[in-house]
Amino acid sequence: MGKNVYGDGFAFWFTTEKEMTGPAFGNTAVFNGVGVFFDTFMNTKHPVSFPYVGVMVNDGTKAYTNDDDNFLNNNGGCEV
Amino acid sequence: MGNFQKWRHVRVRSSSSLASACSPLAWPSTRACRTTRCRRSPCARIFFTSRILVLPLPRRNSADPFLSFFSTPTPDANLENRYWSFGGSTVVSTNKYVRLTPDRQSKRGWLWSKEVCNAKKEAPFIDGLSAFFFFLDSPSALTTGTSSLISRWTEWARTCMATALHSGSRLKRR
Repeated sequence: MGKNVYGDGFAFWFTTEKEMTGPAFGNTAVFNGVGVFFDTFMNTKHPVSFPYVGVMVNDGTKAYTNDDDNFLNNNGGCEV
Repeated sequence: MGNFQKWRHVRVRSSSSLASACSPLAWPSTRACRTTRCRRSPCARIFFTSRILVLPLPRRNSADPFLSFFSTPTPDANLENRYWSFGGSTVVSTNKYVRLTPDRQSKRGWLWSKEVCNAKKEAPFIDGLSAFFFFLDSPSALTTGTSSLISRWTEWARTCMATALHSGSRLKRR
Protein backbone atom coordinates (compact mmCIF):
# COMPACT_ATOMS: atom_id res chain seq x y z
CA MET A 1 0.00 0.00 0.00
CA GLY A 2 1.09 3.53 -0.60
CA LYS A 3 2.12 5.19 2.60
CA ASN A 4 0.90 8.69 1.91
CA VAL A 5 -1.91 10.32 0.07
CA TYR A 6 -1.67 13.86 -1.16
CA GLY A 7 -3.94 16.61 -2.30
CA ASP A 8 -7.64 16.89 -1.64
CA GLY A 9 -8.86 13.88 -3.54
CA PHE A 10 -10.87 13.15 -6.61
CA ALA A 11 -14.43 12.34 -7.51
CA PHE A 12 -16.56 10.49 -9.99
CA TRP A 13 -19.60 12.36 -11.20
CA PHE A 14 -22.80 11.22 -12.79
CA THR A 15 -24.62 14.44 -13.47
CA THR A 16 -26.91 16.06 -15.96
CA GLU A 17 -24.47 18.85 -16.69
CA LYS A 18 -20.81 18.52 -17.39
CA GLU A 19 -17.68 20.65 -17.48
CA MET A 20 -18.99 22.97 -14.77
CA THR A 21 -15.85 23.99 -12.94
CA GLY A 22 -16.26 24.64 -9.24
CA PRO A 23 -15.04 23.96 -5.72
CA ALA A 24 -16.29 20.38 -5.34
CA PHE A 25 -13.32 18.39 -6.59
CA GLY A 26 -13.28 20.53 -9.67
CA ASN A 27 -17.00 20.35 -10.30
CA THR A 28 -19.70 22.80 -9.37
CA ALA A 29 -21.00 22.49 -5.81
CA VAL A 30 -24.63 22.52 -6.92
CA PHE A 31 -25.31 19.68 -9.28
CA ASN A 32 -27.97 17.29 -10.49
CA GLY A 33 -27.03 13.67 -10.06
CA VAL A 34 -24.64 11.62 -8.03
CA GLY A 35 -21.11 12.32 -6.90
CA VAL A 36 -18.69 9.78 -5.46
CA PHE A 37 -15.95 11.56 -3.59
CA PHE A 38 -12.57 10.17 -2.67
CA ASP A 39 -11.53 12.61 -0.02
CA THR A 40 -7.94 12.42 1.14
CA PHE A 41 -7.83 15.58 3.22
CA MET A 42 -9.80 16.20 6.42
CA ASN A 43 -10.84 19.84 6.60
CA THR A 44 -12.49 19.56 10.03
CA LYS A 45 -12.66 16.98 12.78
CA HIS A 46 -14.74 13.95 11.97
CA PRO A 47 -15.54 10.72 13.81
CA VAL A 48 -14.17 8.82 10.84
CA SER A 49 -10.69 8.46 9.48
CA PHE A 50 -9.48 9.63 6.15
CA PRO A 51 -9.17 8.80 3.28
CA TYR A 52 -12.92 8.64 3.12
CA VAL A 53 -15.27 7.77 0.29
CA GLY A 54 -18.55 9.63 0.33
CA VAL A 55 -21.60 9.60 -1.87
CA MET A 56 -23.98 12.50 -2.43
CA VAL A 57 -27.21 12.46 -4.36
CA ASN A 58 -28.37 15.90 -5.38
CA ASP A 59 -31.29 17.36 -7.27
CA GLY A 60 -29.80 20.79 -7.60
CA THR A 61 -31.18 22.07 -4.29
CA LYS A 62 -28.15 21.30 -2.14
CA ALA A 63 -24.55 22.30 -2.38
CA TYR A 64 -21.38 20.35 -1.72
CA THR A 65 -19.87 21.82 1.43
CA ASN A 66 -16.13 21.86 1.13
CA ASP A 67 -15.43 23.16 4.63
CA ASP A 68 -16.79 20.09 6.41
CA ASP A 69 -15.88 17.61 3.67
CA ASN A 70 -19.55 17.48 2.70
CA PHE A 71 -20.57 15.65 5.88
CA LEU A 72 -23.59 17.93 6.01
CA ASN A 73 -25.07 16.43 2.87
CA ASN A 74 -23.27 13.13 2.76
CA ASN A 75 -25.60 10.26 1.84
CA GLY A 76 -23.24 7.50 2.83
CA GLY A 77 -19.71 6.33 2.59
CA CYS A 78 -16.91 4.49 4.24
CA GLU A 79 -13.38 4.82 5.43
CA VAL A 80 -10.64 3.39 3.31
CA MET B 1 8.23 12.25 -14.05
CA GLY B 2 8.23 12.02 -10.30
CA ASN B 3 4.79 13.51 -10.11
CA PHE B 4 3.29 10.77 -12.20
CA GLN B 5 4.26 8.15 -9.71
CA LYS B 6 1.94 9.46 -7.06
CA TRP B 7 -1.06 7.24 -6.45
CA ARG B 8 -3.67 9.80 -7.35
CA HIS B 9 -2.62 10.22 -10.90
CA VAL B 10 -4.67 8.18 -13.24
CA ARG B 11 -2.36 5.79 -14.91
CA VAL B 12 -3.67 4.34 -18.10
CA ARG B 13 -2.12 1.39 -19.75
CA SER B 14 -3.05 -0.76 -22.66
CA SER B 15 -4.45 -4.14 -21.88
CA SER B 16 -5.67 -7.00 -23.97
CA SER B 17 -7.75 -8.66 -21.29
CA LEU B 18 -11.30 -9.59 -22.08
CA ALA B 19 -12.82 -7.16 -19.67
CA SER B 20 -10.85 -4.24 -20.96
CA ALA B 21 -11.63 -5.18 -24.52
CA CYS B 22 -15.28 -5.01 -23.64
CA SER B 23 -15.07 -1.77 -21.76
CA PRO B 24 -16.53 1.28 -23.44
CA LEU B 25 -13.41 3.05 -22.35
CA ALA B 26 -11.44 0.95 -24.74
CA TRP B 27 -13.73 1.22 -27.70
CA PRO B 28 -11.23 2.61 -30.15
CA SER B 29 -9.03 -0.41 -29.65
CA THR B 30 -11.61 -3.02 -28.90
CA ARG B 31 -11.36 -6.12 -30.95
CA ALA B 32 -14.88 -7.16 -30.11
CA CYS B 33 -16.18 -3.94 -31.57
CA ARG B 34 -14.64 -4.55 -34.94
CA THR B 35 -17.38 -6.91 -35.88
CA THR B 36 -19.77 -5.57 -38.42
CA ARG B 37 -22.77 -5.12 -36.19
CA CYS B 38 -20.80 -3.47 -33.47
CA ARG B 39 -19.72 -0.75 -35.83
CA ARG B 40 -23.18 0.69 -35.79
CA SER B 41 -22.97 2.87 -32.75
CA PRO B 42 -21.49 2.99 -29.28
CA CYS B 43 -24.84 1.87 -27.90
CA ALA B 44 -24.78 -1.16 -30.13
CA ARG B 45 -21.29 -1.91 -28.97
CA ILE B 46 -22.38 -1.92 -25.39
CA PHE B 47 -25.39 -4.01 -26.20
CA PHE B 48 -23.59 -6.68 -28.14
CA THR B 49 -20.86 -7.02 -25.58
CA SER B 50 -23.09 -6.78 -22.55
CA ARG B 51 -23.78 -10.50 -22.45
CA ILE B 52 -20.12 -11.02 -21.68
CA LEU B 53 -19.81 -8.05 -19.40
CA VAL B 54 -22.25 -9.35 -16.84
CA LEU B 55 -19.94 -12.15 -15.80
CA PRO B 56 -16.63 -10.39 -15.10
CA LEU B 57 -18.17 -7.99 -12.59
CA PRO B 58 -15.80 -8.89 -9.75
CA ARG B 59 -12.90 -7.88 -11.88
CA ARG B 60 -11.21 -6.04 -9.04
CA ASN B 61 -8.86 -8.96 -8.62
CA SER B 62 -7.72 -8.66 -12.17
CA ALA B 63 -4.04 -8.21 -12.67
CA ASP B 64 -4.34 -4.91 -14.46
CA PRO B 65 -7.07 -2.62 -13.20
CA PHE B 66 -6.16 0.21 -15.49
CA LEU B 67 -8.20 0.36 -18.60
CA SER B 68 -6.84 2.03 -21.62
CA PHE B 69 -9.09 4.59 -23.14
CA PHE B 70 -6.31 6.61 -24.64
CA SER B 71 -4.23 3.70 -25.77
CA THR B 72 -5.06 3.98 -29.42
CA PRO B 73 -4.93 7.44 -30.97
CA THR B 74 -7.89 7.54 -33.26
CA PRO B 75 -7.56 9.23 -36.63
CA ASP B 76 -10.86 10.99 -36.12
CA ALA B 77 -9.51 12.54 -32.98
CA ASN B 78 -7.91 15.80 -33.88
CA LEU B 79 -5.82 15.63 -30.75
CA GLU B 80 -9.09 14.96 -29.05
CA ASN B 81 -10.49 11.76 -27.75
CA ARG B 82 -13.73 10.64 -29.24
CA TYR B 83 -15.27 9.71 -25.93
CA TRP B 84 -13.59 11.94 -23.41
CA SER B 85 -12.97 15.63 -23.01
CA PHE B 86 -10.56 17.04 -20.53
CA GLY B 87 -9.69 20.42 -19.11
CA GLY B 88 -8.37 22.41 -16.23
CA SER B 89 -4.91 21.27 -15.29
CA THR B 90 -5.40 17.81 -16.76
CA VAL B 91 -2.64 16.60 -19.00
CA VAL B 92 -3.16 13.71 -21.36
CA SER B 93 -0.18 11.92 -22.73
CA THR B 94 -1.52 9.63 -25.39
CA ASN B 95 -0.72 6.01 -24.76
CA LYS B 96 0.87 6.73 -21.41
CA TYR B 97 -1.14 8.43 -18.73
CA VAL B 98 -3.70 10.99 -17.70
CA ARG B 99 -2.66 13.43 -15.03
CA LEU B 100 -5.56 15.24 -13.44
CA THR B 101 -3.50 17.73 -11.46
CA PRO B 102 0.14 18.45 -10.84
CA ASP B 103 1.47 18.25 -7.30
CA ARG B 104 0.55 21.81 -6.46
CA GLN B 105 -2.10 23.44 -4.35
CA SER B 106 -5.43 24.62 -5.74
CA LYS B 107 -5.23 22.72 -8.99
CA ARG B 108 -8.29 21.32 -10.67
CA GLY B 109 -8.51 18.99 -13.58
CA TRP B 110 -11.27 16.93 -15.07
CA LEU B 111 -12.21 14.26 -17.54
CA TRP B 112 -15.77 14.18 -18.77
CA SER B 113 -17.33 11.52 -20.87
CA LYS B 114 -18.82 12.77 -24.10
CA GLU B 115 -21.26 9.91 -24.10
CA VAL B 116 -24.53 10.28 -22.27
CA CYS B 117 -25.22 7.57 -19.73
CA ASN B 118 -28.74 6.23 -19.86
CA ALA B 119 -29.26 5.54 -16.18
CA LYS B 120 -32.34 3.43 -16.83
CA LYS B 121 -30.37 0.91 -18.82
CA GLU B 122 -26.83 1.23 -17.64
CA ALA B 123 -25.36 1.00 -14.19
CA PRO B 124 -22.07 2.71 -13.57
CA PHE B 125 -19.40 0.91 -11.64
CA ILE B 126 -16.02 1.97 -10.50
CA ASP B 127 -13.09 -0.33 -10.71
CA GLY B 128 -9.62 0.86 -10.10
CA LEU B 129 -9.50 4.34 -11.49
CA SER B 130 -11.82 3.57 -14.32
CA ALA B 131 -15.54 3.98 -14.61
CA PHE B 132 -17.49 1.19 -16.22
CA PHE B 133 -20.95 1.14 -17.64
CA PHE B 134 -22.69 -2.18 -17.57
CA PHE B 135 -26.01 -2.99 -19.06
CA LEU B 136 -28.35 -4.63 -16.65
CA ASP B 137 -30.87 -7.21 -17.65
CA SER B 138 -33.65 -5.18 -16.09
CA PRO B 139 -33.80 -1.68 -14.68
CA SER B 140 -35.18 -3.04 -11.42
CA ALA B 141 -31.75 -4.41 -10.66
CA LEU B 142 -30.74 -0.84 -9.91
CA THR B 143 -32.72 -0.68 -6.69
CA THR B 144 -33.65 -4.18 -5.61
CA GLY B 145 -31.86 -6.87 -3.68
CA THR B 146 -28.56 -6.80 -1.96
CA SER B 147 -26.90 -5.49 -5.06
CA SER B 148 -28.51 -2.09 -5.04
CA LEU B 149 -26.73 0.61 -6.92
CA ILE B 150 -25.65 2.54 -3.86
CA SER B 151 -24.34 -0.48 -1.97
CA ARG B 152 -22.44 -1.59 -5.02
CA TRP B 153 -21.07 1.87 -5.40
CA THR B 154 -19.87 1.93 -1.85
CA GLU B 155 -18.21 -1.41 -2.19
CA TRP B 156 -16.54 -0.54 -5.43
CA ALA B 157 -15.53 2.83 -4.15
CA ARG B 158 -13.68 1.12 -1.35
CA THR B 159 -12.05 -1.13 -3.87
CA CYS B 160 -11.20 1.84 -5.99
CA MET B 161 -9.36 3.65 -3.27
CA ALA B 162 -7.52 0.54 -2.19
CA THR B 163 -6.50 -0.08 -5.76
CA ALA B 164 -5.33 3.47 -6.09
CA LEU B 165 -3.18 3.21 -3.02
CA HIS B 166 -1.88 -0.13 -4.13
CA SER B 167 -1.05 1.10 -7.59
CA GLY B 168 0.83 3.99 -6.10
CA SER B 169 3.25 1.68 -4.41
CA ARG B 170 3.37 -0.52 -7.43
CA LEU B 171 4.27 2.31 -9.72
CA LYS B 172 7.04 3.42 -7.45
CA ARG B 173 8.70 0.09 -7.74
CA ARG B 174 9.03 0.45 -11.46
